[in-house]
Amino acid sequence: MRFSDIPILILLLAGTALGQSREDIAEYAASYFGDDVRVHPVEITLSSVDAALLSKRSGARHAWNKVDVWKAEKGGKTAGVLMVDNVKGKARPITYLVAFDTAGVILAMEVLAYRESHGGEVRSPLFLEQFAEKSHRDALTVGKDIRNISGATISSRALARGARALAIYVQYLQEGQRL
Amino acid sequence: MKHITTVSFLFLLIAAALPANAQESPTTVGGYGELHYNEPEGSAGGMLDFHRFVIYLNHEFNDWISFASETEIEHTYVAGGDAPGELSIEQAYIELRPWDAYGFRAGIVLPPVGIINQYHEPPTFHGVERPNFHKNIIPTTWREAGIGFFGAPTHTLGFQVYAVSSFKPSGLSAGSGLRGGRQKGAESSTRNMGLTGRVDYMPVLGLSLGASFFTGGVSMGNEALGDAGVTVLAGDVRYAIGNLQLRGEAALISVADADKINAVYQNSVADQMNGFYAEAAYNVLPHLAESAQQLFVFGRYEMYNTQAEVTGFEAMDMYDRTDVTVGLTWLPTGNVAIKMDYQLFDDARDLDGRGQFNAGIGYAFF
Repeated sequence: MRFSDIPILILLLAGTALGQSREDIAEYAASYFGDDVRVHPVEITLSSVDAALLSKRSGARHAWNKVDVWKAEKGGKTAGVLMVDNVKGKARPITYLVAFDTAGVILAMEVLAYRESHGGEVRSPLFLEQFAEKSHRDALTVGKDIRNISGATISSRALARGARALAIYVQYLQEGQRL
Repeated sequence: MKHITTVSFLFLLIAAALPANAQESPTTVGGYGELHYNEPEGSAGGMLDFHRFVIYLNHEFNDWISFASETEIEHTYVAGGDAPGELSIEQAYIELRPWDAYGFRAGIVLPPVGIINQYHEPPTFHGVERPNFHKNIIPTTWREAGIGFFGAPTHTLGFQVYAVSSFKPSGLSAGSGLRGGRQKGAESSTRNMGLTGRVDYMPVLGLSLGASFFTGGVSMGNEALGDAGVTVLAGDVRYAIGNLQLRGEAALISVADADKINAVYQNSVADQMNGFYAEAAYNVLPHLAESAQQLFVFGRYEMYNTQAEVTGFEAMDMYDRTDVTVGLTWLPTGNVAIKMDYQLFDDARDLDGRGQFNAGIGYAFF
């Protein structure tokens, strides 16, 4: 291999290794709900009143309209909800997924794309497992019920903020029977 | 010619395959800053100083190419002559991230040695002033022009390695160690390049371990300096459980052919310098009130010696220093810190230590 081939090699690898596609959601759903689960995208249209209420409940502004909502069904019955969302880290968005059961309790949380320079430890199950079994009733706050990762404080807080927003969102949709 | 065509074709093919950037605004701003009040014991009055004002400017060109920068004004303003201020670029690099967990950076980067050189936003550390270990042993904020590779083979293991400009020998000193030798990416000489790197490991949630190094020649082609060079080895640990936070750092610096540097520049540089600090902080607020705010009581013990081993002259006791800091950090919200502390500076001479009271307010936003 010549030295001049290196950029080509880098570019070739670059083209093959980016991001996660939406098809992966079915795979994620299968790991939380079992193999016979089916996922359907749900179109949610939020009015400005909805958004204002959600922001009031969560105490934070959030791009509620940009959350991708997927319904998981098993044998014709709703098994749960998956949400894919972005939350801003220090400089770049972190793409994450949260799976909820029908009562709005978190089953699992995953980081789908991490783009920040520092703090990739938040992708570790050691961190993400903390969110399981929590819901809108929990603080979901770093330093309280979520343990921080030293050196990944901004990312830890961002994901906790995101999880809290989605927990409140899912509860809002479920109580309004919009799922 | 054929080769160039192949390259262009591949480039186009790959460019077409890359997903379009879905972000609304690819440019983001942020920043941090800190106002300090320092009052040495026995002085007629203290000093108020808006020590640092830093602006982040970041841009995403696409899904895998981004730019990050930190521009700093120290001591509020810069003017000719005697103004104490300094305007500088603390970081400015392009990041290429072809893989989720691996990438490259080029520009002005922070040698990833120790904790605070990388994480220096005021709400991330206790004490109004950064630890003196991070001034006289690890020369924070240490930034140099360079290029490097970083990655995370697993979610709990990360590394960074950079080739950066090395230190200029004329700036090394008896009291401040490597600090004056930083080239800061300004028309830096490439006669000597340094290699620096770091490994981070998180064995369990709450515990972070780090090991880092720097090594580089500093002779800058001057034969009189022989094989003059600087090597830094450092280790750090951070642990948080419940309301308790613990952290510690230690570093060992070796200067090769220090006697030759001293023969040329008369700057009394040591063959070896070393230091460490240990810090404990406890959030007392949960015992006083139901609140999301945090109020830490902390203590830090630092020992550092910038003349631990010398050749050809007598080491001075004044450089064998011990600092004790005790204080409070109030975080009314995660990104604002109101701090107050008392420091006692002592050294190996038979003198009474000097005390200093500090207060400050700092912020960071992203």
